[in-house]
Amino acid sequence: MGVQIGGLIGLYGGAVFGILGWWFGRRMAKKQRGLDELHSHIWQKSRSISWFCTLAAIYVLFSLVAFGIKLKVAMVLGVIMIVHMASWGITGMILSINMNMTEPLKPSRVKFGISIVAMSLFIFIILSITTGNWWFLIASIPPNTIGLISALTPERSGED
Amino acid sequence: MRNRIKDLRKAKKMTQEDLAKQVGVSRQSIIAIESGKYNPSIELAYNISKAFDSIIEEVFIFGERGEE
Repeated sequence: MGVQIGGLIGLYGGAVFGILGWWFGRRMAKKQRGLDELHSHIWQKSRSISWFCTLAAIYVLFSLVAFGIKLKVAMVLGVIMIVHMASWGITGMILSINMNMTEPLKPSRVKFGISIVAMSLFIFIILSITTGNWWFLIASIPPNTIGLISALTPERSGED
Repeated sequence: MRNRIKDLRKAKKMTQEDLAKQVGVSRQSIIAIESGKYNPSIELAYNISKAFDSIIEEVFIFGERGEE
């Protein structure tokens, strides 16, 4: 098995850029006293939620293997990594925005939005894996955008 | 947990940023605490109360839900 240069660049380059972004982000947040207990609370909660999403992804991938679909190791690890990182980032972003808004987010709308994102990711990842066509992932962008907009739309102050 | 931070802050003519600087947290934290979305730790609640020259019980009303 040969060394895949593109894969190595993506893997280590992504990690280096990710760590740099994280480090600079923390440095900027520190200047505005942003690394406080609310920050820890938000990111601990989002990390915990992301583990549930990762668990669901592992179950789905295991089910695909049980149904006889042949999966490559890189593909499986890639899907698990994307699900983990994306759910960590998205839930952290939703929680941060919610905490920063004077008008609260509507819980039912957040649940609806997150369900749309989870379902579309699930459906399009399965389609991509089963057909071997990764362009299906691009098709998941519109429903994901709708889901995120729906989740992040605050409750109107007049509504009770 | 409900709180009187907004009223006390207005009485003292203090902005959210002023209070945030005084207690060493971000303005986002003050917004979240004021709106009842986040319950602060006992240490932060003590620092906020101290900023208003009050005791915790005067600023935070235990056993009642926030605005949510």
